[in-house]
Amino acid sequence: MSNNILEIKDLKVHYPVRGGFFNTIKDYVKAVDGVSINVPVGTTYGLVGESGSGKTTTGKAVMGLNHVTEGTIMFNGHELTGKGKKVDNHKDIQMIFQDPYSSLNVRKRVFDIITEPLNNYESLTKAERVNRVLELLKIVGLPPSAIYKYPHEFSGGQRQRIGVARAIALRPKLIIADEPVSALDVSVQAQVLNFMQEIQKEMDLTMLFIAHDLGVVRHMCSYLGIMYRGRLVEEGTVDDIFNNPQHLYTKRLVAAIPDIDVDHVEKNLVLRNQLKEEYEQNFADYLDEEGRAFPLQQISDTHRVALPVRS
Amino acid sequence: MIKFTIRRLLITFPQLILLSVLVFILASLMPGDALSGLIDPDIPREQVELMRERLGLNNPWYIQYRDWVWAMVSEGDFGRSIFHQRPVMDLIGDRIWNTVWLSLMTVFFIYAIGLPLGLISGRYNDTITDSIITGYTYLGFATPTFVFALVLLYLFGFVWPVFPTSGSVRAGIPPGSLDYVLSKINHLVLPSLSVALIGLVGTVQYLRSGVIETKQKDYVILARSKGVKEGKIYSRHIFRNSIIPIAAFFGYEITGLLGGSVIIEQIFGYPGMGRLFLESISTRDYSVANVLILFYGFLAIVGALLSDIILSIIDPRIRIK
Amino acid sequence: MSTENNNLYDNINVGDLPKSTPGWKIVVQEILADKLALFSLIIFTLITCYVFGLTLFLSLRDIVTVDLFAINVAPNDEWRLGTDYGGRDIFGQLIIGTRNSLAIGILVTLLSVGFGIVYGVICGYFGGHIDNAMMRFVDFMIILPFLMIVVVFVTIVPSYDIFTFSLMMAVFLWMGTARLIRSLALQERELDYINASRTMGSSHFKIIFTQLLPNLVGIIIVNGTLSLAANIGIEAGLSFIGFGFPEDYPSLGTLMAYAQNTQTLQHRPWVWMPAAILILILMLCVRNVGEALRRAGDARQRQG
Repeated sequence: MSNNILEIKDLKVHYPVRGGFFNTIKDYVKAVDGVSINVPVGTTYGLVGESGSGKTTTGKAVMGLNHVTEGTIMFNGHELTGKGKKVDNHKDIQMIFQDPYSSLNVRKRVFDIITEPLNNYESLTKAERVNRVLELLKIVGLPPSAIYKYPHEFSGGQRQRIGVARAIALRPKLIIADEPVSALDVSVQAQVLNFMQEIQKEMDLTMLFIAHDLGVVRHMCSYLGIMYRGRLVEEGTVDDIFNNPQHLYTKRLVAAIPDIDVDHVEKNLVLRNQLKEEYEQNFADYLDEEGRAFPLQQISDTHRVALPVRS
Repeated sequence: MIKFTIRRLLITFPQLILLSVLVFILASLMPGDALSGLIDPDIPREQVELMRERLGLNNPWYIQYRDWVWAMVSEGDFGRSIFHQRPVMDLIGDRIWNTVWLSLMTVFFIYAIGLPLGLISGRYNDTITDSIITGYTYLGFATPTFVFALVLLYLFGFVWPVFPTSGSVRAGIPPGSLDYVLSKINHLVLPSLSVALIGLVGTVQYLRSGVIETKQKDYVILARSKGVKEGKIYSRHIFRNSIIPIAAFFGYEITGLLGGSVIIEQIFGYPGMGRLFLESISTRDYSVANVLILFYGFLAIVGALLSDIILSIIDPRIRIK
Repeated sequence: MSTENNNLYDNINVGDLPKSTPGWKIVVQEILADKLALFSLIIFTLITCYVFGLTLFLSLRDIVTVDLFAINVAPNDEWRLGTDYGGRDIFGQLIIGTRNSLAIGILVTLLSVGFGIVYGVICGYFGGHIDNAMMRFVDFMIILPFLMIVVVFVTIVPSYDIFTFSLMMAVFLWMGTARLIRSLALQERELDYINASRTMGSSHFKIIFTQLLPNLVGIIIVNGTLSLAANIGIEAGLSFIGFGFPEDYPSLGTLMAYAQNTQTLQHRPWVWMPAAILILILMLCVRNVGEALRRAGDARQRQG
C-alpha cells in the first residue's frame, strides 16, 4: 500500500467546551475521533456521513484549516501535521468548497479569483496569466467572456466551475471536494459531477470526495468510508459498501437510496421499514457506552467494519 | 445570573487599576507637584527638600503610586486642592448635587419627549407627522450640543429673557423653601432642555425603527385579527418590545450625561462638576482635575456594568457569552 | 469541443473583454440617485473649494492683527461680517477657521478610522485569545472621559500643530470604528472565500488586505463620513471651551468661543452666528452624504 498519496492515521480533532466560573475547559466536542484513511493515488475516496459526523472537519484538517488534536496526516510521504511540518501543502492539495456563493469573494473578478493561487506560487507575466485563466475556463467549460465578470453574474453551477478552475490552477495532485454539488440544483449536479470526473481523468487527480449522498458517491468513487459521530463505521470499495453492507448504519443508508425502478418500490419500502425498526431497537448495540462506534475490524482485503466486540 | 454579574465585576477591576495608573501618569506629567503651590518662595531650599522627602515625593514611582492608591482606598484621602486650600472631596461634594440634578432633569426630558415622539413616528410611519419628526432627528444628529445650547441661551436668555442665563439658584433665597426649589428648577430648564432636545434623537430613532419592526411581527397581526383594540395592541405588545434596547442603554445614558456636562455647565455658568474641572485646569489646580477624571472614569465603568447587567436580564444570549 | 469553439478561446485581445462597473462608480451612482445627498455634496464641495481657494490669497497675519480702531464693528461695506473685540476681521477668520476646522476634522477622521480599521480587522480576523485581549483594551478606552482627557493632554503638551492636535484627538476616537469593523470581520471570516484564500497559499496579511477589507469598503466609507461630521463638531467644541487652538489661530470653535462673553453673545451675534451656521451646514451636508450611502448599502444588502 505504498502508493497511497494520502494517509491519515488516527486523526483526532477535539474542540474544548469552556464553562464554569473561570471559563475552564469542561469537556471536549470530539468532531473527529480517531479516523484512519488511506487514499491510493489516482482514485476517488468518498467520505460519507450525516451533518456533524466530522467528514468536513477531516477534509479541512488535511488542508490545514483546522488544528489537529492528535494523529498524523501524511501526504506523499511527507508529514503535514505536528511540529516537523514545514512542507507547504497548498500547491499540491487544493479544495473545492461546498457553498459556491460564499467561497468566491464577491468583490473579485473571475480573473482575480483564479489567478490568486498562481500569484502566490508562480511568477507569470500578465499575458501569461490571462492565457492560463482562459485555458482553465476552457477546461471547466466557461466562455472566455467570463474572465472579467464578477461572481454574482453566474449561476450556482457556473460558480462551482469557477471554484474548480481555481482549485486546478496549480495542477495539484490531490483535491478535497467538500460536498461540491450539495448546494446545487439536482439538474445541475450531474453536469458538474460529470465534468469533475473528466477533469480527474485528464489531470490524473486523486480526490477525497466528501458527501452526504450515497447516490452521488456511487457515481464518483472507488473507495468509500462511512462516518458516524466522528468515527468510521465502515470502509471498503464501492462494491463492498453497496452490495455487502455490514454495519446497521450503512445498511440503512444504502436502503435509503431512491430506486428509479418502479417495480421495486413496494419491496424497497418493506426493507426500509424493516431496517428502521431494527435500527431503533438494536442500534445501541453497535455503539460503545459513550455512544461511539467500535474500532474497525478487517473482514476482507478491502472491507473494514466497526462491528461490536463480542466479549 | 449571579455568575454573570460576578464575572462581569471581575473585568471591572483591571479597568479600575488601569484607570488609576493612567491618572497617576497624567498627574506626574503635569507641571508642578503638591508642594509648588503650598510653599512660600521665602522658605529655604533645604527645608523644601526635607518636606519633599517627608511627603514621599522622592520615592520611586511605584511606591508613590502605592501610597496614593492606599490613601484613597483606606482613608478616602483624595488629596487637597492647592487653589482652594481644601480637600478635593469637599469641593466635589459642593458641586456634585448640581450635576446630578442637571443629569436627572435631562434624562427626564429625554424620555418625556423622546418616547412619545418615537412612538408616534413609528406608529404613523410615512405620514407628515412622521416626516417632521424624522427630519428633526436628522437635524439633531448633525447639531453639536454646544451650538444648540448657545442658540437657546441667546434666544431664551437674552432676546426673549424667560430663563436665567447663569448660576444654579437665585441669590438670597433661604435653602429649603419652595421658592428655592422653584428657582433651582428654573435654572435647570434651559441647560437640561438644550442637552435633551439633541440627546433624544437617538432614542426617537431607536424606538421608531423598533415599533415599525415589531408591528409586522406575527403575534401583533394575530392580536389584531383577534379584534384587540389598536390602542391596546400598541400599549401591550408593541411598546413593551420596542422599549427593550432603550432600557438597556439606560446605564450608558446616565453616565454619558454626567460626563458630557463639561461644555454645557460652562455655557450656562452652572456650578457643577464639569465647570469645576475646567476651573481647576485653568487655575492649574491639577489635583482636583485628576480626581475628577478618576471619578468620571469610575462612573463610566459603573454605567457600563449596569447596562450589561440590565441587558443580560432582558436578553439571555448575552449571559452565555 | 469543436474547433470553432476552440477559436473562441484563442486570438483574444485582452482589451476586448467586457469590464464590470468598478466600486467607486457605484458609490457615485448612489449619491447621484439621492437628491438631498447630491445637493449636500455640492454645497460641501463648494464651501471646501471656496475656503481652501480663498485662504491662498488671505494673509493670516493681517487677519489676526489687533486693530484698535475697528473694535466690534457691526457688518458694513468695509467689514463684510464685522470685527471682534480686537478689531479682527470676522470674515477672514471665518474663512481660515473653516479651513482649519475642516483640515483637523479630515485628519482626525483619517487617523482614527484608519487605526480603528486595522485594530478591528486584526481582532475580528484572528479571533480567539488575540481578540479577547485586544477588545478588553477597547472596553477600557471607551470608559475614559474623552473631553477631560483631551483637555488635560492639551494642557500638558507644550506646543502642538494641526497634526499633533489631531493625533491627540484621534487617540481617543478610534474605538467605535474598531468595534464595528471587528464585528463585521468576525462574520466575514466564517465565509469560505477566506478559507479558500488560505488553501490557495495566501498569507494572513494578504488575505486581510486584498480579500477581507475590500468587502468592507462600503461600510468603511459610511463610517468615515459619519465620523467626519462628528469630528468637525468635536473640534469646534474643544476650541469653544478654550482647549483647541488659540485665537490667533482661528477655527470655527474659536469664533464660537467669543460667545462665552455675555456681551458678545447678546449684542454682537455677527461674531459667532456665522460660525454656528457654518458648523451646522458642514455637519449636515457630510451626514446627509453618509446617511445616503448607508441607506444605499442597506438596500443593496437586502437585495442580496
